[in-house]
Amino acid sequence: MKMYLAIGCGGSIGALLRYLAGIVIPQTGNFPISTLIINTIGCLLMGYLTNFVKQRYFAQKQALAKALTTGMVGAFTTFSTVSLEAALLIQGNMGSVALTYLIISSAAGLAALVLGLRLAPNPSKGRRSA
Amino acid sequence: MNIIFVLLGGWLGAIARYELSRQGQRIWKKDFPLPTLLTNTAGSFLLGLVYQLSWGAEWQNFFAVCFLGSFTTFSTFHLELVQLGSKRKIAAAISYVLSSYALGIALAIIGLSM
Repeated sequence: MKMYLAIGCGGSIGALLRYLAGIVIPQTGNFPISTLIINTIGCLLMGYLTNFVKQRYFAQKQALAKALTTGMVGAFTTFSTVSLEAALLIQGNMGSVALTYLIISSAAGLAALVLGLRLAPNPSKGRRSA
Repeated sequence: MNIIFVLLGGWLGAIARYELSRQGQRIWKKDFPLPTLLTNTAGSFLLGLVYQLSWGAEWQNFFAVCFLGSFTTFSTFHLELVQLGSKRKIAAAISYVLSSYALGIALAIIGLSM
């Protein structure tokens, strides 16, 4: 029960941050730059937090760990919007823009995620709990 | 949009995603991240569907931006790709990324045309 509450609260924060980011980042032209920026930042955070929550501090706080990763960052980033934006581009005969969008999204996402994992405090250096 | 809507939608979306992945992992024991694939592609279909309905902007935003945005995830998708890569399961990683995008976009188009 505690786990559901924690993940729900993380999800609320993630959705709110995504909503605010959508307002702040201007959408110009056909290319869905706003979603790309949100998802790339989210991947960086997911990489960082995935290693960060392996520290001893979180050993007895699995609900908090899940709230930050699965809840907050999972909700901040979005896949359905990517699919819809690509679908709308394809329907508008902009298939090449859609393909570019998907390739840049995944390339940036993977790079950001690996960077996040490396930037995080290394859990294998004596502070590992699990 | 009312901030309460954003918080509630995000809350429900994250819990629904967590519960589906928990149940999915109980049944599906293989490395291929099927639970996330199903969540993401189902969410893509629903977003296409909601996008073309005429419920009014408030309800559509609630479902689309708040609930489905939170229900589907891009960061876990890419975390799983990195994890497959680090286990040297390159074929599984490539088929995961291609099937996610192909199914997600195809289902979004079906949702849009219903």
